[in-house]
Amino acid sequence: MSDIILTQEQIKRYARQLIMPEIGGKGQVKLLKSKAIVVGAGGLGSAAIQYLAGAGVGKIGIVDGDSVDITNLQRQTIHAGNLGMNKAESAAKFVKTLNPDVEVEVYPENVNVNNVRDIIREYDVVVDCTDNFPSRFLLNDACVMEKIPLVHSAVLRFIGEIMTIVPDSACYRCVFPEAPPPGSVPSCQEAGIAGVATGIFGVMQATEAIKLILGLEILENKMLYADLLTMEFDLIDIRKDRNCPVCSGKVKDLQEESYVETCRIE
Amino acid sequence: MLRHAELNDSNDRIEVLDLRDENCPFTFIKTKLKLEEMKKGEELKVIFSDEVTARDVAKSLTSEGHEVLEVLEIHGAQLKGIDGWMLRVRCGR
Amino acid sequence: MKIVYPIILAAVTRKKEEEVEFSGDVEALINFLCEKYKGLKKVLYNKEGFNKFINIYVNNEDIRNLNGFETEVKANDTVKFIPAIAGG
Repeated sequence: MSDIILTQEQIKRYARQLIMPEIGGKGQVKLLKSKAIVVGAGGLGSAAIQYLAGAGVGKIGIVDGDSVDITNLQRQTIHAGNLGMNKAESAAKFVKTLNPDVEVEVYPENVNVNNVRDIIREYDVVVDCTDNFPSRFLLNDACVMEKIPLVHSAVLRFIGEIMTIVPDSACYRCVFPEAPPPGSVPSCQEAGIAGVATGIFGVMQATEAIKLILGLEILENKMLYADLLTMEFDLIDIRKDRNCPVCSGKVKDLQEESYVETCRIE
Repeated sequence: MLRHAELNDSNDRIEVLDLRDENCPFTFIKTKLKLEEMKKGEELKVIFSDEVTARDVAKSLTSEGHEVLEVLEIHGAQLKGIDGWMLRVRCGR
Repeated sequence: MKIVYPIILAAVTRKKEEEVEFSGDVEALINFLCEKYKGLKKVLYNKEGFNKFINIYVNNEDIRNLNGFETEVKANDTVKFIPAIAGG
């Protein structure tokens, strides 16, 4: 009996990746059975969602409490035509048009200490496409506690970084134990953000999530750091910090006070 | 068109896949998907509508590490009333 | 050696990178740069010391995995300052 059950329509849809040795019929079935949640349907999220959907990830969760604004359209291309709509709903609409194989679950809210672990629990991989430090530290900590892989990426102007956190690897806090105090570094609204930076890094996040699902090599204990102005891409080794309060297992619950100001955990 | 099940006798451990109604690239993709399900060393027979297709698929399979045993024209008398081109391939991995 | 400045430091140094003549450890290098660029100390330090949201890499290795601020730096090295960013 066959393990690879694809409809005629799916064989056509995924033809270009079915013939790749890294994917094939078995890989396609893995993708169709997998669940990824994208937290943030903004710049990074729009790019990631497109390619996760195209590849046939079976279920995609989309989390975003904001509405589509005209300032978004410089980079958040999947929201075309949806000004005023909730971003998670807008992204879901795009996915359903692109690929009806994909089940979409919409969370028209933002993650917080009370909802994040419940939201992410059923998923195979979390993609951090948020735009603020408290959310990033929250997702890192929640994913470590729930033992769910996390693909982290962040951008500013033409600079970007990406790393993948899995159980027992270095986590985001091993790299940055705390955030800059509010106001000490410019935000995207102040310094700016190149649409192409979110596009490139968002798609790289989808790449990492897809490779993780397929069991291919990922950026585990590595951070890719790039400056798109010079096109220098550096692969930096990261080591697990023995003193990291979260991935050492010392802190087992999310505490509200850990996600304010510098998000430091003592 | 004979369905896949009808082409294989229950005792016959060599599978036969009828792709005479398929176009490129599905001729290659479906052959590949079938081989993915098979074990190394097992033999697959695939039937195509024409020689060019059979030989193109054979070439692609060889570059993927499968062993093409032969490509030959078949007529009704040889296999349950089928006319076409048969590719015999041994699963390479 | 080459020093690479992120956006927040380039705002003070007015350049994204530069070649400097220096040998010594990272601590001494930072003091040297703070002497050269007057506003730099305020961005790099807070009242508790060096800002923990800025990482320092010597040849793409985090100094925390080397000798910390006592890591020696020499002629052909590249020193990068990389702060945490959160845009998405």
